[in-house]
Amino acid sequence: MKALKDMWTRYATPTNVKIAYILFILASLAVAGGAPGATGGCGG
Amino acid sequence: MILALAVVVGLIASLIRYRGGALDRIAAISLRWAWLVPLALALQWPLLRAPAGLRQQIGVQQVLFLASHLLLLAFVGLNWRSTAVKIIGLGVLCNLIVILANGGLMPITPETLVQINQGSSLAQWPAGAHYGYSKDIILAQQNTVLWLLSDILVLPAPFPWPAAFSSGDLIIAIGIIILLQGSPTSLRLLTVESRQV
Repeated sequence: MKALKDMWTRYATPTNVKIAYILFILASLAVAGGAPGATGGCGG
Repeated sequence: MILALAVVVGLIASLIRYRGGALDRIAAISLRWAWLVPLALALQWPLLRAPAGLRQQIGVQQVLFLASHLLLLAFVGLNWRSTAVKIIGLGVLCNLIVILANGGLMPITPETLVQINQGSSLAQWPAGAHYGYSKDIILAQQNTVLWLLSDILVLPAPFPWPAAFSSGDLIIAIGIIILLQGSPTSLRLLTVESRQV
């Protein structure tokens, strides 16, 4: 638990959290805005 | 999910181009009402989890899917100052137009499905059926309205994830890659900050 807390303190800086948030939003935008057909029927 | 690769490509391109500064540029990207996007995706989720079947079996999923586009268009409108978002909006609009013109789902031809599903035959892809776990409906080319805007571009094998996509999908991917290079707004912010230092 302490190791997890240390990792969080070290890596979850405001900048890194913002970057992760932007990447999450853009990945969601790609899946929600796009409409490709993929092998086996896996859209998004 | 293939389009999410655009995020990876955009991130790698930014890291190559700006090295250490890439992450600061991405962190400086400002998107208003960004939560609308995952909410739109949540509305689409039931359709993306629906197996192959008749169009009539996915009526509710289809309504939610179409409603999700209102959220996407609202997001684009609220972030209109960004050129990259304008490009993404154009892609979303291209997809929406062809989807609406063909009854609410993205058309894909049986021939294209054979190309991306190695070893399958045309008989496996009946016209009018929903292509499972996707936003696509199987339609013959002659029955597709605005065929050029439908899923006609193919990434065939040996690409690890063979897929068919539309010109709208391509425009969205380009917009996302450009956005990840840092929007003009974020560039101005960085310039102001560097002058202050």
